[in-house]
Amino acid sequence: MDKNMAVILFNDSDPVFNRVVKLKFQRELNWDVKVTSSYDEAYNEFLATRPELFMTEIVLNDPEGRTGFDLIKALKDKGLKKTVVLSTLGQESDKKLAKELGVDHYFVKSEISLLQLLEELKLILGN
Amino acid sequence: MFIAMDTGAQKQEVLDFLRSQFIMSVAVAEDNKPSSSILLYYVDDDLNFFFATHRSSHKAQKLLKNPQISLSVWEHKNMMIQVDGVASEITADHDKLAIIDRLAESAMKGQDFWPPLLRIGGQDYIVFKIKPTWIRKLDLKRDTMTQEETPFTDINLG
Repeated sequence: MDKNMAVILFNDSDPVFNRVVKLKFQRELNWDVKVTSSYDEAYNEFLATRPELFMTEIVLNDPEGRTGFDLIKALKDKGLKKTVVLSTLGQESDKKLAKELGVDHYFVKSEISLLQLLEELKLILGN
Repeated sequence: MFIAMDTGAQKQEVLDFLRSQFIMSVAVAEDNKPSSSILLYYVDDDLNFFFATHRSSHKAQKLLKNPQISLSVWEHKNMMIQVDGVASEITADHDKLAIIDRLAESAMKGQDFWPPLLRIGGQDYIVFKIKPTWIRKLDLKRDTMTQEETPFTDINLG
């Protein structure tokens, strides 16, 4: 496997958003990207894939009312390495909770462009 | 002077051009009032166009009442394609997601292109198929001031 091909697990239920992000990450930076669209799907895919970086939205529609923070907590003792939140939510309370959970970076979708995000992720992955 | 082209070659030329582009201008109408917009598209081998928008958008609501649609795609010094057609909603989830996959691929054609659809917000997407009833090509490669033979070619959809 190409040593430059970082494995990213990206979790977001917006089907247009997650597909465009996947292709952009793959084509512009040669990253292997797995995409899921629910917390349960992300949990199972994480255990199967063990990605270098896990990115998730924290406000998906979940039948059990869970948030992305619940997922991150569940994954913490399953070998979760680098974690990034990419969310529509941008309140300080959410960012604080993310930090307490050990999330590496918190990005707000309305405050960052794709190019900026790619640059940030390159730094996070050490590429 | 009438220029005849092999139907298959015509269609392929149009398809190749449409696949080199990814943005179309569309016009829809309600109560005889036209309304235009710009959309990311995907085109299949039969020259059917597909796009996604928010269900609550003006164009979606107008198309659901009046499925007549007109669109154009052009590139400077190359060609313009004009299409009239009928739009229909893609309802099956599997088919919708397959089209969204193709639209995401189309979005990759623009170096720094980010679909404006994603900035508008909301996830209740509606996906439309446009079946063409008429297609015409305008050749824009010539740089003469006028042209004796018509630069338009009607494309045979048969």
